[in-house]
Amino acid sequence: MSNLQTSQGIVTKDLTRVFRVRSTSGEGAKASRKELVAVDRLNLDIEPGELFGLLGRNGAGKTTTIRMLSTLIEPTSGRASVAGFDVARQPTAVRASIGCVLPGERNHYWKLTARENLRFFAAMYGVDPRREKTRIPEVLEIVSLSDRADERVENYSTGMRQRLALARALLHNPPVLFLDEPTGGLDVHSARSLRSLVKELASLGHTVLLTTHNLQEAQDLCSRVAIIHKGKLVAVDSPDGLRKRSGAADIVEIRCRLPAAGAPHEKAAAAVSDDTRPERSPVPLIRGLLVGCGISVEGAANGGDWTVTSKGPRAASYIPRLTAALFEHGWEMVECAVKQPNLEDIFVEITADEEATADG
Amino acid sequence: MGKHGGLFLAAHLRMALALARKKLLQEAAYGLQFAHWFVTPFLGILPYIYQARFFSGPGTQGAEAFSRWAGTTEYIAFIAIGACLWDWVTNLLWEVGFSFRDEQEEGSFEQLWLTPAPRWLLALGNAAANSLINLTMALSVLLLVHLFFGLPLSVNWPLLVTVAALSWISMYGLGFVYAGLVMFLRDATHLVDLVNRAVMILAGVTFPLSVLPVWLRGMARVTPLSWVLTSLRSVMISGSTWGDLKLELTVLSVMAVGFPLFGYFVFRIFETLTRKRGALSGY
Repeated sequence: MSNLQTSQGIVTKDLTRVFRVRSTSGEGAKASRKELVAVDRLNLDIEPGELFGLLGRNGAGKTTTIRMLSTLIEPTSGRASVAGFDVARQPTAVRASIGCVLPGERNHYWKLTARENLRFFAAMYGVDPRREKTRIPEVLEIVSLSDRADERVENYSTGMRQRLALARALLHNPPVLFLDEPTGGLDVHSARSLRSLVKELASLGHTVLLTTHNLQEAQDLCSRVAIIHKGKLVAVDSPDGLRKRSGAADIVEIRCRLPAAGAPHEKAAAAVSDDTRPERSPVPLIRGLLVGCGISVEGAANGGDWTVTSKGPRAASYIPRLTAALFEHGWEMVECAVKQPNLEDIFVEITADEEATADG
Repeated sequence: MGKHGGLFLAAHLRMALALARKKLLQEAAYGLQFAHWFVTPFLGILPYIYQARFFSGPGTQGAEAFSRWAGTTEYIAFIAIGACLWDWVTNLLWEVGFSFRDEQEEGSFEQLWLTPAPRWLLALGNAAANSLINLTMALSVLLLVHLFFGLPLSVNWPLLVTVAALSWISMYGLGFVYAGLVMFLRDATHLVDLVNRAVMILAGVTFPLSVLPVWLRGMARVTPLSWVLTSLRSVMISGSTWGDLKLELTVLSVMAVGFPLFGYFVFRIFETLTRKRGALSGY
């Protein structure tokens, strides 16, 4: 096995997890065991203090990765270190160095109050009793639960339970935080407040590994994101870097209209074009200009206005040519907007590519 | 906390106390639990006592016949102590596993496993509160039997405490095997039912072992719980002395050393297998 270069952040080297699952091929068929590769030779290098996002579809291997890194399950092969400790050889040290927010609300003691829950976990994490006295109010304050700290958790909302989970993860002030879909199931306000909290934690120097389905969340929070698909790492970069690298389409929206007949602008246009009254849409004109550029063009009419959407790599660079041609053909420009692809577009593109590659 | 990997004894003690406190707080959250602790066990042994009184018939003839099998005429004490201690001993045996099962059902098992607390401490600390509850239950039942049926309580207390402590340690040790099974199989309740019923016969809970057929008596002799029950009963009913219980004390001492080692070894194997299978979160 190769040497694992440890850092105070998170490093994985060919980390792999295979599950053996029972399956039947049909009704009445005998159950058999088959192997499911949940995480396939994953290599990550997350810097200390970095807020790193792990993106993927359901079942892509995100949660399995976090469970391996937090020592809950053993890797089938490969290595990983967290905060400088090997997850397989130094599990106790890893556990002392991490705080975890796992999915699900039932991981608190519901019949205990928030304060009692935190007192319990402070003892389990070996927080010094003198420190505990100040630390519990601190973390309650951080997650804005001070006012409700002495209520039983069973009376809490989902958002409050999630914030309590974060408070528990922070009790022993661990250098590394694993947040597995921390905003899942939260309303907009709760999710927003939790996100700003996560951002604040990263700014305080915690290394944060965040899994999320919410790509906007990853884009807003993470300095880098990794996309995993069917257990394999398919991309890792900053959201901007991914955008540049992926070649994901620019989206150019041009809204235009033909001036009323006889208007001065129309007369001017008639002078420079044979096609002075095109009763058709501007779409064929633009399509003609972009032939061979790998850019798709679609149009839609709304009253007298046409909206033409061009989508493709570097579509924005053709704007001067398109507007000039439209003008030449008598079209009046109303609006022109360029939309950069967001992380969601890139995610869909990358995972679709992988799917296509896998299908051969 | 000390350096990673090594937590100090004081921290361990705090962890164990925190686990016990948490369990007690959870139990206290349900008002009717107290009735369940103190009234139900007493009610549970009453049918055995009245059945025995019915079979013993009027006068002392029945008691004398009983004495030929059991070596004592105190059949009510024999049955009451047997049934009460049976509850205590089986609770000791299963409660480490049951406390894990409770965590699994609560959904907090993984969260507990994510802490750096030693695994054995998680098992023991969680069960410590139950132990306290069970001990209180057993003592209160014995007190009630004493009040209602005149249970003789002139015992050699140091000997009783020694036998009870050795029993406690050995049953807890064996309980680790079950805790490992709960972790691995998730639900091993059927095993508890099977073992409880089998051992209820082999330990002679409500009858003397001498009534069993010879082949079953042989099996009873190698059943750890029958040693525990017989020893406790002889201290509490027959007024046995240290000298009378030499063999029992030796066997219990061997069990008190061997079972925790064996139990923990098996427990670690199951824990490793469960982590390898990735099944800690299931229940």
